[in-house]
Amino acid sequence: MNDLDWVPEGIDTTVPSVARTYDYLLGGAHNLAVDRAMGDQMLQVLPGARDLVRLNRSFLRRAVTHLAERGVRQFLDIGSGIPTVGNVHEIAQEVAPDCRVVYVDKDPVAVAHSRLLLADDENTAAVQADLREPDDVLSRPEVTGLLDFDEPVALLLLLVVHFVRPEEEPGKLLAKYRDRLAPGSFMVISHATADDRAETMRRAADTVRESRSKDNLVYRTRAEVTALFDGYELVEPGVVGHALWRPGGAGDIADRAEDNTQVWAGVGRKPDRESGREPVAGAR
Amino acid sequence: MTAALPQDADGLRARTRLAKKWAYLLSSRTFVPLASVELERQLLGLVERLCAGVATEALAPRAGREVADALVALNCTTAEALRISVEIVGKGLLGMPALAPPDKLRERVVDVVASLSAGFVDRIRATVLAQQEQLGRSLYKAMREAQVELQYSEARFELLEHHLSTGIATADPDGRLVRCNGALARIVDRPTAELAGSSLFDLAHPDERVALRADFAQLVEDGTASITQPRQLLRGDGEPAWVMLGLSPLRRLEGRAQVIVLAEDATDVNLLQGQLNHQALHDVLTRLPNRQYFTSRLEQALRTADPGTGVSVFHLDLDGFSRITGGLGREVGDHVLKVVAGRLEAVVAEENAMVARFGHDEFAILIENTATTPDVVTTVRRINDLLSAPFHSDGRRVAVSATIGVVHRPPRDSAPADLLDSADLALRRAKGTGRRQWELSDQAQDGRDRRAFSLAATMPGAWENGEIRVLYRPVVRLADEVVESAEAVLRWDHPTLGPLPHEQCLALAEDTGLIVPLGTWALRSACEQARSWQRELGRRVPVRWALTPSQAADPELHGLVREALSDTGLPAASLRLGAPAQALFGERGDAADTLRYLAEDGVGVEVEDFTAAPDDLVRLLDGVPVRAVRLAQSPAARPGTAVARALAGVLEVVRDVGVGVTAADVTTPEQARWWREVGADTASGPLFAPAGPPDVITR
Repeated sequence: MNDLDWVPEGIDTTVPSVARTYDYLLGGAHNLAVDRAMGDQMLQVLPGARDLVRLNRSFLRRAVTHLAERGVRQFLDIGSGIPTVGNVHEIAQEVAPDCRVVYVDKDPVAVAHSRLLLADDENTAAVQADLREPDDVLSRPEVTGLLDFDEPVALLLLLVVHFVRPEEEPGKLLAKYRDRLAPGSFMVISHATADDRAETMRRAADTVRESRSKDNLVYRTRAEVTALFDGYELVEPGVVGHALWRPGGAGDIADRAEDNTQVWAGVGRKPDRESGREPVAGAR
Repeated sequence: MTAALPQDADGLRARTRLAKKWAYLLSSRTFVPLASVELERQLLGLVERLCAGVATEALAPRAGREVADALVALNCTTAEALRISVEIVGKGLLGMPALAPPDKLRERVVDVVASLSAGFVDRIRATVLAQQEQLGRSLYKAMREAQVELQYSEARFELLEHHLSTGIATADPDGRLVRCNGALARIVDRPTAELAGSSLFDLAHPDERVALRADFAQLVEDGTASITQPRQLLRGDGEPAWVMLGLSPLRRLEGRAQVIVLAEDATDVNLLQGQLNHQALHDVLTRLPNRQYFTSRLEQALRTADPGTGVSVFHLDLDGFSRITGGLGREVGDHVLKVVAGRLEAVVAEENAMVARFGHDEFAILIENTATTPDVVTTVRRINDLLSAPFHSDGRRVAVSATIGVVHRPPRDSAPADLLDSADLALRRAKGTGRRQWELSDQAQDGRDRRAFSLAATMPGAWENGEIRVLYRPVVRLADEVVESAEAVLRWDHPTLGPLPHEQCLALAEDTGLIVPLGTWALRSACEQARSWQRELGRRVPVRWALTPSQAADPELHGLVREALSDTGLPAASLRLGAPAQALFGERGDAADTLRYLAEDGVGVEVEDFTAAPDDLVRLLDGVPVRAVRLAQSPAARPGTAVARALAGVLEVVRDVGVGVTAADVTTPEQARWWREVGADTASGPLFAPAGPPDVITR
């Protein structure tokens, strides 16, 4: 018996990594044979997988651009994965060059890669940490050094909350982040769902589970995803299919209608204190 | 390059249309990190470069490559992106006749598209290689960081290990210490070098080993959490070291888990508490565990012992110990107990065992059997062999023996209290058969014993209530069947069980110790009755009382008898005492001495249950002052048999030395005739008259 549990997750090159598989589906080459094998299996089950990844990346671009245009200058991207093209700092700094971005991922290879890529950029940092440990994430020197939590921060949670199991209480988890954010901050979530094509999505989840990756997909309904925004005011148009959140052009929407709503997406704003609408669980 | 392009409105419109279409198709097939307006703007620039390449032959290769590089930079890296681009660009350029002379257009377009394709392949190849190399560096970096982190952890662990006052050791799955720190060595006061490679279990106090092994095995097997317990380790000098011992499993890449052992020195804190505990759980005299401690250990052992071999419990009672303390003094008695304690520990030194002192002269041994544990018979023999070796105490030579009740391999779910009861019952049964005996517990027998003991427990009350009476059984001369004397017997008129006969009354009384007062009472009653017959009948009718073994051994017996005689005024010759052959002829002379004094007083001493065996006969002829012997009814007692002839010969010898012969329990005339034939003088039994109230004699 060969138990490789002790090897930090993501370094064991015989286990596929979600981050590298995502890179593969996006057309990158920052991946290994195991990752491509899992990507190909995913494509078998879900032929639109490349489109889903593309649409999600487009949603990220639109959301970040929107927030930067609304004046947000700080971004905390958790579950950032392998930085390839269209990274948050590139998008945000396109709008305002002084934007600061901290990338957080639990995959050590993704983080090492991010550091390699971001070495010259003083306004970015990469941290290896786990979304499920908010106290750890929020106390990392890279995070506290680069981000000022008295000012609005955009918390980006793209295709990552669906790896949090119900027993890990995602609501309580997100509340910890929300409590730390200043009024006027934002939270961006995109989250896979099985509201449609339940059988196909179940098989897609099985593919991930049967790979040796430790991550398992937990689908949530639109109502459940909406509930994750507890304590935030949803930005128009609310929680919608990721392609339908303020699409800007042909490439933002897929030919297959179901791909457009296979991932729920939304942006919430933490209300101002003076508005009198104290976030539900935000009061300390 | 653009300078060469036609600047007419139609041309610009056509190029813009081409860029829009291209942007649409690309962005719907591949991720381009740009808003569509920006993508269209950039693609328009590429279209213009391609147009320039078509217009000017020399620019064609460069234009194609530059566009290919730009596409890859826009993340259009897939085969699909190339297919779309070649198709859109090729068709689009062919639809722009103003770019080149009609005979050159197709050729120029193909040149441009060809160089675009070639450039794309080169660029993609370079990008993939670069990304793979980056990934490789990232993997290496991540691995290196993990390694550094590991080295850091190790260094931190070593630092802590070295400086902490807590003892730290790593044990392999078998409990062998793989490494340990200086603090542990200090706590147990042994050199570090001696600890490495030694077993954690050897380091534990013997009393704790079983429990510690159980904890350890559980952790290695499937444990995830830690186990922390106050435990005793053994210092180099044999003294206990109290620690809070924490065990935590350490999972490994391969093989079974190791265990991290943390030992926090708690000696100071526990010194006092430890002494109190020790006193609460140990016997002060022998330093052996006491009954309470033994019971809890037993409870644990029942759970943890190997089911294949189980446990054995030995319950020991020293034979005649009260005579040692009574005769030689308390100090000798204490010394004997200490010697016994040490010897019992020596007997089981090779075993996983506990020796405890239960009470005055009671000990117990718990053995957790293994395949090599000797069987019960061997263990019992070793116990008594070792105990019987004489030793000097206060200038005297002393040796002891023990009677033992054994419970062997009880079911795992037995309650310790029941188990100890069973051992106790077996011990009592063994005592019933004499000294230096042993009995194995047996469930059915236990049930009977339990009933008997509950009966025995109610006996004192019954006696007080007058439920127990003395009855008299006539003893007649065989020659003429005239009543010669009377034998006193007990009868318990039990309200629910009916009359319980003499033998059962005695057995119950013997078990509870009631026999001494009850026997004395019976003896006095008999003396009073004999005196009253004498007055009533004008002649002596001697009365007989058969002493039980403990009565015969009672050092007070002589005084009690004298008292009874003088109180009632009965002549000594009118009292006959039956003494067990064992007491009279036994090697230990106490009872024999008492009886000799009584005989000197004139009391008639008779041998009870005389077997006519050669040994007894020899002793009888040795001059023990015996008036008569009594023989029990024999199944072979038929006239004319060889047995009859042999017995007749023996009894003739007996009578020759002036000792009378009496027969018990005669039920048929045939038996009476037979006894007459072998030379018995007197007899009793149902044939003549059953036991009854005093008037059975006077009627």
